[in-house]
Amino acid sequence: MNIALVGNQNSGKSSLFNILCGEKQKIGNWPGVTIEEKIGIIKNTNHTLIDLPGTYSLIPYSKEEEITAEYIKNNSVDLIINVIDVTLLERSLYLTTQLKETGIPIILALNMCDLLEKEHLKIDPKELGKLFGIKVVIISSKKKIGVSELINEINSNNYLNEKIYIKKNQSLEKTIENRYDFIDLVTQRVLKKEGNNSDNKLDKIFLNKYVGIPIFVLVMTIVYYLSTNIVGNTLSLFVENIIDSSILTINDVLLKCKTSEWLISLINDGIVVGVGSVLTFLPQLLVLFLCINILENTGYMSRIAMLLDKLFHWLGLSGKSLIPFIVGSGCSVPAIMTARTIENQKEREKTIALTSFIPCSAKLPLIVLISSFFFPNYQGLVAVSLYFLAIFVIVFLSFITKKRKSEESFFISELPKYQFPNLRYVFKDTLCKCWDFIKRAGSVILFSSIIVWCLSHISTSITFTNDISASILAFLGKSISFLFYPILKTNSWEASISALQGIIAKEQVVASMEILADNTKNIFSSGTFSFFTPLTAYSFCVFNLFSAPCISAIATLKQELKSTKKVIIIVMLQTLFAYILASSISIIGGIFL
Amino acid sequence: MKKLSEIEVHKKVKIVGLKSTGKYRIRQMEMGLIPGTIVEIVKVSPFNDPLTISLRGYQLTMRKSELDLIEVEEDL
Repeated sequence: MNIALVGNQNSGKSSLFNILCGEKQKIGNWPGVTIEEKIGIIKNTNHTLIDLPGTYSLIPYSKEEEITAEYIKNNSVDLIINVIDVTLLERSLYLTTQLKETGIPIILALNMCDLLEKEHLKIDPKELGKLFGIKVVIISSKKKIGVSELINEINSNNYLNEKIYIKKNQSLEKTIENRYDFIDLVTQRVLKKEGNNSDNKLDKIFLNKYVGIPIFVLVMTIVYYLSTNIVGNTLSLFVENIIDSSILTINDVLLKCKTSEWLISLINDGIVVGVGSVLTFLPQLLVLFLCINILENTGYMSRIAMLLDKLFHWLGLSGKSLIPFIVGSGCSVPAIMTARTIENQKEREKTIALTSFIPCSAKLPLIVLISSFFFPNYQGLVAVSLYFLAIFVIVFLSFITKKRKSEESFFISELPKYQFPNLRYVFKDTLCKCWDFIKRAGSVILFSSIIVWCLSHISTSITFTNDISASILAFLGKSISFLFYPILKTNSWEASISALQGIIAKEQVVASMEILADNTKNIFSSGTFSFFTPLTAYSFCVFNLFSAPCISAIATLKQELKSTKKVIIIVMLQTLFAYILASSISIIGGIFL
Repeated sequence: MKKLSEIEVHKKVKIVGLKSTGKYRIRQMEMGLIPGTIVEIVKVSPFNDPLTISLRGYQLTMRKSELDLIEVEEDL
């Protein structure tokens, strides 16, 4: 039997899905969009269950809602399990009236029954079932109440499916009114409210005029430090150590097997380093996803959107755009992925395109290198200036690409109640997201790091070489070095290929410069890079900060935008913008200095 | 007749009409903003926009410009 799980957002649908299907589930993506598609088999049965994206109506308003509406319309669904947050009965039953009209048998699962008492609500499920002509089961997916009753109902194969009378009108508006009239009648008979609920207390603090914003800043600072500094860095170092030691072990094994030099180099410098670069930011990703997931599941994320909407709306972005920007100062990859929480497609794409402008932690070595060598007295100031430049660039670009007034955007969204997150579900979901990332980004990074290895270890006469200056990469560098002339005011293939390697990983820029400067830490004292002046060094840094992000970020862009064309346009525009900005700083600065 | 955006916080009023159009109007109605419904502004964000209203036992956040489109009367 083909069963669909349908309900509003925040109705506890996904955690019910987890309880019903356990481990027997497959998570994928709906074709063409980044919305999760979850299919499972209900425990101890052979019924397939599909978790459809949360929706308020079968007349879709967002991409998610479109998927649900289309699925119900175009697939042979044998049974709908309609999940409802029972504390929000009235609004939730609207979808039920629409589902009734499809003629598909429905089991109504009144979820969160454990909260009824706290909300001073009393409900008569039998009467509700009678009035709607369907079977009603009271459950709590959090407390695991009523789940076996629900499964029994599913297995009974005998579904109540009586017609209800809601007058269909020529005009859609009149029909909507009729549906609500019916719901009003029903709720008057089945729902009793005794006293007021007290959910508004927390918002007196979190949305407070004076402390709301400071609390938000504090929360984001904690998230940031947890993921990048405390947990993320410790775990990242741990992973890095494992990779370094595995390189040594692999090296030993390969040497013992008398493997040829080029193969050892390919395996170590190409494959292991490539895989390692994915794994090193996995811990950061894990902690970040966990934090963001908790923020979403407690209901605080909706408050963040509310707090920042005014400011970000002015820039044509969403209140939720701030999260990717903050995460982006650690790593663009999870940052681009967290943009998923932005509902509006345009705002989301814009946020994604702007996120990699925030200097990530891999760009930090270059910032430190240049500011400490050329501006020893103003090191901090120069570093900070680059971050401010990034913020300025984002504000500037958001503002000039802002939609015209004619395309209005609306905020209208439910403010969910605060709730204690279902930790099991949160952990599971976080692990799924991380695994998803490894699968998708990993292969691209591996592939591209092998290509760069080939370019830097194969000479122009197609022989293996350890001398990078004889490699194809150096040849490429020499042929494009003129492009960097406006920035560097000289032709340097060494600087050109270093910048080029930033595509693999931004920390590669400094690593490559070190190798080319004969493995010295005093890069700018060596003959190779002595041509740099403070101005050209700053400009070179600006180019590296704002040009195309690393391949992992590009792969994530592709994954999230689902469009190669959009990714190419974004990456090209970013690089062009970085080029113009860096050249202008170098040229205009040169006039004054 | 007043706009919902002009009503003070925690004052219950009745919806008498919507000035919105198209797809958005349908969405407003489907979310329960139907003439006759009692609504009340319950939360205001620090920059005074957006605001949260309470209706039909749940809470809905909208921008001030969206509340401009909802006509209400103070007699319940």
